Amino acid sequence: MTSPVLTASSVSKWFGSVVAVSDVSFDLGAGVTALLGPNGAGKSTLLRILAGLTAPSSGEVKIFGVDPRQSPAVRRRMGLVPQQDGLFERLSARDFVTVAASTHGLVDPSVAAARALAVVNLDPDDPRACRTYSKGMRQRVKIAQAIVHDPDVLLLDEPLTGLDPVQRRGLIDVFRHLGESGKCVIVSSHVLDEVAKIGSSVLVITQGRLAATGDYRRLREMMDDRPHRIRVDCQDARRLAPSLVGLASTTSVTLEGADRLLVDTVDIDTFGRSIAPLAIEAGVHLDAIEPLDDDLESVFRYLVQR
Amino acid sequence: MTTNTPPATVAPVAVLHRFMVKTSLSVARILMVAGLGALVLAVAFAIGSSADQTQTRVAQMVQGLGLAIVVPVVSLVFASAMLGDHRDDSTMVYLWLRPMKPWVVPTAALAAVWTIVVPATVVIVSAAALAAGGDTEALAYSAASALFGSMAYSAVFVLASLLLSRVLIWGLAYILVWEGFVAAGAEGAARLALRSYTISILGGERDVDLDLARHSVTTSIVVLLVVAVLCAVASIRVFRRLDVA
Repeated sequence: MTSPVLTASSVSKWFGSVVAVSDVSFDLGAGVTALLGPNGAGKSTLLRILAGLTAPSSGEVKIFGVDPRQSPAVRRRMGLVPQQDGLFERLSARDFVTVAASTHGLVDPSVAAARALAVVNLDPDDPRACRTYSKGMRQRVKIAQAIVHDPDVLLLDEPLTGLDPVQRRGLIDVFRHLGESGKCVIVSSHVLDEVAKIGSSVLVITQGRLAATGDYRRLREMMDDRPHRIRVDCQDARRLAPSLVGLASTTSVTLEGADRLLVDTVDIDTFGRSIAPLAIEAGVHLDAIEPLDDDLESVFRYLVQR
Repeated sequence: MTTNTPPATVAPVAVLHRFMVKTSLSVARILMVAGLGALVLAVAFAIGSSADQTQTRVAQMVQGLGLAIVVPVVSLVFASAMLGDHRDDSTMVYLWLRPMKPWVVPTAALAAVWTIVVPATVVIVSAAALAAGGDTEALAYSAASALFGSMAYSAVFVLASLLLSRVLIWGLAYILVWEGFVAAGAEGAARLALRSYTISILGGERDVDLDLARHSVTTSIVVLLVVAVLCAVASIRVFRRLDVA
C-alpha cells in the first residue's frame, strides 16, 4: 500500500468543557472521501484541524508527513473551501481568485484565476464585486480559489450548499474527476445522495467521534445486527410469502398489495441464493428484487442512531 | 490548472499590500479622514487669523486636534480594519492558509496601514500647522510628530486587531480614556501613553508650552520606533499562532 496522503492520529479538540472532536484517527490516500455527520458532530472543526487552521488539543495531523499548521510548503499543496460565506466583498471574482493565485506564487495568476473560474462555470470577465453575487455564485468562487493552484489535497466544507441541481451535478463531476486523477479530496456534506454520487468512501463522525470509515457498501455488509430490507415484486405475493417466512434468516415478511413483498433478512447472501428456487417451487414469477436500505443514507442513519 | 512554482515571499508581500490598501480604502473611511482633516483645518484657519496668534497656540492646536485626535483615530480606523475586518468576517482563512512565511501577512498589513495613514496624517497635521500660522520649525516638528506617531499607533492597533475583537471600541477607549484623561493626570501613566512622545516631538527644542512634553525629541522618536518594531514582531508571532475561524 502506498503511504497515506493525510494521517490523523488520536486527534481531539475541546473548547473549555465542550469536546468537539474526540480521539479521531484515520489515514486517507488519493480519491474522494465524504466526511459525514449530523449538524454539530464536529465535521467543520475536524476539517479546520486537517487544514491547520486550528491546532488539535491533543493528537496530530500530518499531510505528506508534515504538520500543515507549521509548514507553508504543505499549504501550497492544499486547497480549502471553508464553510463560512465571507469573501473579499469589494473584489470581483477574478480579482479574488487572482489574489489566491498570487499568494500561491503562481506564474500567471490572472490566467490561472480565469481558468479556475471557468471550471466552476463563472465568467472570469464579470466585473461585478463579489458582494453582488448569489449564494451559489459565491460558493463557486470559493471553490475556484481552492483549486486555482491545482492542490494535491482538497478539503471541501459543504461545497454544494446553495447550488442548483445543474451546478451540483457539474461540481460533483469536478470533484470525482479530481479524486480519480490522484488527488486526496475530502468533502463534508449532509446531502447524502449527492455524496454517494461523488464516491463511496466515507468518514462518519458523530458527537465528535469517528463512527465508521471505509466504503459505505462494505460498512452496510458489516452491519450484522440490522436486517436488510428487500422489496420483491412478483405475480402472486401471497403465495410466495410462506416460502420466504420459511427461511431461517428471514425476520419478517410484509405484504404490500397483491404483487409486492417487503422482506427483512439478516443474511442477504442466503436470501439471494434462495429466492429464485423458492419462487419456482411456489410457481410464482418474479418481476423485480431491490434492496431498499443499502444506500448511503440508510448506512448513515444507522451509524448516527446507534 | 497551473503548475506550482517554488515558494516566493517578496511578491506576496507586494500583492497583499496592494490588495489591503485597495480593500481598506472604503468611501466611508475616506470621508471620515476628509471630514476630520477639514475640521482641523477650519480650526487652524480660525486660530491663524486671530489677533493673539502665537507659536505656542499653534503647537497647542496641533497637540489638541492633530496629535490627540487625527493621528491616533486615523491610525486606529485603518489599522483595525486591515486584519481585524478579515478576522471579524471570517475571511482571514483566505490569508492565513496561503503558503507564505508567517511574517508576510502582518508585514503587508502594517505596510498597507502606513501607506495610507502616514501620508494622510502628516499632510493634515502639517497643513493645520501652516494654516494656523506656524513657522518653519512648527511645520517640521508637526510633520515629524505625525510621522512617528502614526507609525507607532498603527503598529499598536494592528497588533490589537489580532488579539481583540471590536478593536475599534477598545482603541477609542485607549485614545479617549487612557491618553485623554489618565495619562494627563499621572506621570507614570503618561510614560505608557504614545501621545506624550508625539507631543514631546512637537515641542521639540522650541520655547512652547505643551502638556505632556516631558521627553527629548531623540528619546521620543526612539521610543515610538521601538514600539512600532516590537508591535510588528509581536503581530507576526500572534498571527502564526492564530486560531482561524
